[in-house]
Amino acid sequence: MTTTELSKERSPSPFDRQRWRNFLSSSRPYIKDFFLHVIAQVRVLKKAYPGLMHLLIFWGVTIQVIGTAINLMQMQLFIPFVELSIPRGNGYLLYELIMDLAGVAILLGVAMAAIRRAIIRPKTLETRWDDTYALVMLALIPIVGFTLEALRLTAAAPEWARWSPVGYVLSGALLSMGLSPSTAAQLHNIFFWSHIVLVLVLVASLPYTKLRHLVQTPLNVLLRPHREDGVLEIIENIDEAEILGTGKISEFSPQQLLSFDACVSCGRCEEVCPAFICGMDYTPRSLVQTLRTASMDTFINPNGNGKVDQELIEGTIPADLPWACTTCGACLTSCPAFVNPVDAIVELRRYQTLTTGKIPKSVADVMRNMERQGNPWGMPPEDRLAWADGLEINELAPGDETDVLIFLGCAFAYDDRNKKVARSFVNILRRENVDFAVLGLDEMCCGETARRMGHEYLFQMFAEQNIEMLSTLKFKRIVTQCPHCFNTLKNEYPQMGGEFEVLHYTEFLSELMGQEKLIPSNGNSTPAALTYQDSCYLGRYNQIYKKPRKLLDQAGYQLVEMADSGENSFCCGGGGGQMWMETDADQRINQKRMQDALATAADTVATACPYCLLMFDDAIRSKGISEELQVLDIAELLDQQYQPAAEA
Amino acid sequence: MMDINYELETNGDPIGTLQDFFIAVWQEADLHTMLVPAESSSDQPGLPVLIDKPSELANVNPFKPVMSLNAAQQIPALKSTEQGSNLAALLRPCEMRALIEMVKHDSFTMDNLLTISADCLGTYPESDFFWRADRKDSASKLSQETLKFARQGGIMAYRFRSACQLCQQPNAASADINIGVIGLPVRKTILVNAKNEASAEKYQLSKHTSRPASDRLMEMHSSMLVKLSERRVRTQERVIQGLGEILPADVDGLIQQFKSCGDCSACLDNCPICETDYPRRGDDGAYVHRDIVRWLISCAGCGMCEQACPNHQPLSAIFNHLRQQLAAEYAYQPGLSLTDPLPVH
Repeated sequence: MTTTELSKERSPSPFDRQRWRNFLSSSRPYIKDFFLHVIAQVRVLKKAYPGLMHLLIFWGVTIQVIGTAINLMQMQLFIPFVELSIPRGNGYLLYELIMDLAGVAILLGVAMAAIRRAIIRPKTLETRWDDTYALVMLALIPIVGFTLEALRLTAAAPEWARWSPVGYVLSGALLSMGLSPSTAAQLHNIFFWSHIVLVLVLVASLPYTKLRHLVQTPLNVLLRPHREDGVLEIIENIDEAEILGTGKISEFSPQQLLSFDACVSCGRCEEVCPAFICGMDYTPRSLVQTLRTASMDTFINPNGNGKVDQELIEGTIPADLPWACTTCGACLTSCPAFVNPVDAIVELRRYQTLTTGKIPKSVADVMRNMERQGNPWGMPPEDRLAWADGLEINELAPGDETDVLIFLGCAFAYDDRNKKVARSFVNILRRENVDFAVLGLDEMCCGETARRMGHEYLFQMFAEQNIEMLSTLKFKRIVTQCPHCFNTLKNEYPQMGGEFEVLHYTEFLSELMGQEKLIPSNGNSTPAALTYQDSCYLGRYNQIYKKPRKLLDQAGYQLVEMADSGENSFCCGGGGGQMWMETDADQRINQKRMQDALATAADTVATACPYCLLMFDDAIRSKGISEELQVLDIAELLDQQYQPAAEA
Repeated sequence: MMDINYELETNGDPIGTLQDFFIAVWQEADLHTMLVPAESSSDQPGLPVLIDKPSELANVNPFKPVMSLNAAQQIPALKSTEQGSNLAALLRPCEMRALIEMVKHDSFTMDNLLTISADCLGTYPESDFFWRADRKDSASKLSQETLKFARQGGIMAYRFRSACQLCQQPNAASADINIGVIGLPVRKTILVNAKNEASAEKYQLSKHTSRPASDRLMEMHSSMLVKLSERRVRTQERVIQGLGEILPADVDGLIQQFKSCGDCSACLDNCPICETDYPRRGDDGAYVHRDIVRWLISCAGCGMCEQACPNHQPLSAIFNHLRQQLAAEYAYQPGLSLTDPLPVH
């Protein structure tokens, strides 16, 4: 190594371009979050009424704070450090006008909020003392401010008073009530100090009220982990980690504790949570609020109530509560503060599964199945290829080569209904002359269900085995029919060192079939109309919304949408291990979703996920309405259309 | 002044390191035979094996997660057949507790018997173990997996026998030599403890271990034990709550239950304490109250009763509960030392 090389290594120049480039590219997500979610607050705006309400208050207050800061500057408080003067001339007039409008904006926003809380009363909105307090303060401050302005205008009567329209009108009213300019000047003092005291009280109360979100929420938006929503945090060195999962509030990460504090209990997660909507006790909002209370009891008021860092499960959270969540992620995409209840749920499940062992029996059963048989169905591993009887599928052995590797997934290998879907998919691939093969008996469960049920160890074992197997083969891409396998292989296996190009079959077929509309070749009568159920792990977690719809459209189907679709799609009820758990008959999520489908004119539900298919199938059967509604996988629908016409 | 706590570096292979350590102890103690849990022993993997050559220690695994019999139950017979020879036994904590209680119930002694005990990370129900082990080459993997999570005191408690899920003393104590793994990074270090300075001296622990134990390691061990114990107390409360009607209120309630449960006495036959002191029946056929008290007060919590019960009664939880009642009443903890006398005769 030469001297120059050495010195380069020792002291990289602070102006080194590469370093700046790295810095800029690594800070890009933070910059984006800052503008999109801290300043523009696009998620708050997703809902019109509360969005507009928050927009008015946020910008009103922001402008007032900046304007007041400018005002304070000219009081020469900071000389000799900073010397700024208030704008003069036209600038001053504009300043006065903008400040008046900002004050009006706050009052309008507060009025909207008051109407919402007092009259509209959304079911998921809970009013606590600090909600009222914040609104009263946010109303009082501009009201006193405007009165103050009116008194000033009355006392001084400047010719540009019209540029403060609210103060001007008020001042006119005061004059007509017989207020003399000299009394106005005296009153001005009282109102001036009241205004200041109110503002200081508000500032001082920030940490004790929901107004803490002015600080905590932007911080959480910026500090949240920048991993994909579909990726759960890995337990590194699982055999040496001190704790597995989270049993006490102090075991959550500092960022997670911050996120609980960033929640303002706005109820948006609750409005979209399938568990809550279907009448279960769980709601993401109350979970987060419970955790926030626990963290207050532990870190802020530890001498208060003897609840310092007690066991969460059965202490503050009922043992079966974490098992109500389907991990559908609707709460994640609706939360303007980027709180992540799903992560908290998985942490609690990990603790129950790995550490205490107190889990519902149905959960323990499915975990035993996975541990013993390598699949949640509990079917013998040697039956993994039974679905393909007679199809003569190419099964890979180490060293073999193929273009497309089909990672089948347990549902397609073991569930009778889904076996048909797998066979339909094979028909399509054969017709399109795709060079494909399967892992066969060497394929293990991908570990998705285990991981979502908190069994991180089992997930890591499955992932290791599958990655080891996959790395002995030569293939260009992995295609999987199950969105759960898809998400795990694509987004989570890289955590375990498995980097593969993974496609969902709807992506793959969409690419294969190009843009042209294909005329059904078989003369089958197409269903009158069909509706498509977005799978959570395909849609919300991986933003694949258009391709499945495009495929249906190409195949000549007419698509009608359900009430909630795309990003707002309502879960089928099968995710996060729910597929395997027992639910009260009147709390079934799939029943609710079936009603959504019935409300459309469609007679067929198209799915692209084995769980969605099974959950719909189950709902339809239990209500005995298979005449009215059927459920088919997109692969089956395509296969139907392309089947060669029967020889006449 | 001799230390009694030592660290043993494992270099990634805790079981291999322990096997070597046992060979060293064998030579120091000039042993003739040793009763051990062996890794691959035919069709009865849950039974202890008697070995008479130190080379056979290469097959020993104290963490094997299956237990078909409380090894202490075999010791009285062994002591009489192996009279005069130097005998050792490698025991789980519940087996060690049972052995101490058996000595107090009977006239046999611990002379010429070296006891070694290792922290227990739990055992599977027999059927579960066989099912898991049946799957390709996973029998030894099962033990390795159990040991893998020693740092956290074991994982996935739901898989283990209920006696293990309820066990509040999974740590090796009161043997002549105790091996500590709970709460420790076992692929790096484990703990070796001698009952007293004399034992440490006798078996040359300073020579056969890496160094005296650091406070940090001792603290990791003890704090995880506290956690585990707290957790299992909660499990016990939960299980007791779930038992409802099945739970007898006291010893008399249990004696009543014994009349109606089928009265096969499989639980007593498989109990190590009964091996030395079988509760007698009165004239009416019911067990004698005082005998049942004397039996249960010594309960080591090994759960062999539950494993043997043809009615699958939750005996671990029931006996554990009654044992705790008696412990409070008589201020007596079973299995701690040979010197505390039995409070009931």
